[in-house]
Amino acid sequence: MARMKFICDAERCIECNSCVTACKNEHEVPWGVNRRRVVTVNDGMVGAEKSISVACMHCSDAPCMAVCPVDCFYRTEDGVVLHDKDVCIGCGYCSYACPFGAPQFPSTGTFGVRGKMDKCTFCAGGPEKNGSEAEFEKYGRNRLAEGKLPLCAEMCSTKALLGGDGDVIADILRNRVIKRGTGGDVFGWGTAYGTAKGGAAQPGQPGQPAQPAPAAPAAPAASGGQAS
Amino acid sequence: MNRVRVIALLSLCGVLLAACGEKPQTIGPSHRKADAQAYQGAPDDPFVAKGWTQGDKTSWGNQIRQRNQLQNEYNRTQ
Repeated sequence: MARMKFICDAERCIECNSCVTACKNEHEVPWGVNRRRVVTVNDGMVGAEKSISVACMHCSDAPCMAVCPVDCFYRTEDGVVLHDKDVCIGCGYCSYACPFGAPQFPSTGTFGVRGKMDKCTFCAGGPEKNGSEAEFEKYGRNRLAEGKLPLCAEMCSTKALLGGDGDVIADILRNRVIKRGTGGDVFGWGTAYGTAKGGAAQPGQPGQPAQPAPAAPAAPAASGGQAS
Repeated sequence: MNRVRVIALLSLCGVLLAACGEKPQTIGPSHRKADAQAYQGAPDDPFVAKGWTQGDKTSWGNQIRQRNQLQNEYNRTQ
């Protein structure tokens, strides 16, 4: 069973914002709501500036699920954290709990009233019928049910953003890290997919077996990039 | 005598108020709807990718893993 995860390879992200654009276009997300955005860390510091594409990471132990007073969140078999907008009351607790700032609130209407929460669905829609108009209007396209992966990751030009089965994308990143010898620290991995006893092992560490095995690793991976 | 009456009255009030005990504060069942799993597909959706069988979990899993490899550019360069 696939366990859906995101990885953003900060060594590759060029801050083109095409993931943001793809997401907004695919799901017809309203103005003021950004399910995905690109964040720059160490801005202006020569050699240390990195860009990361951030959205809901579909955490293993999602804090939003824990704090929701109306219990509108649920997790699918594939590990995707979704929510029911018909149950959401727009209280904003999830937005305070989320370490990634994923929950977004449209402020439309006469007095800018905060609406129902909106966030990345891993292109998996919501509880409405798969592929229906109702699902599209509330949650956007359901690409997983179409046998596809999130568009942000699929169309990333440098393949900095990886999205899909956690084992597969971890192998892809690990292979890269071994070949280039740096950039094994993945932003948010431990926070999103770690355990209570300690963070999860970084997917890019060379101690774990890479599949397929790299042809000729030039150098062991150093801990480059930024802190997770 | 009055003192006994007051004590008796207070005791009676205590007994009566005991009926107004704490209400259960456990959360009730959620009202959220059940969702169909992704492998069940989207029957009325014209944009479903070809090459897998809707409703077949193994077929969907293979499709996702195969599609995931499109994000591995080493497959193209090697």
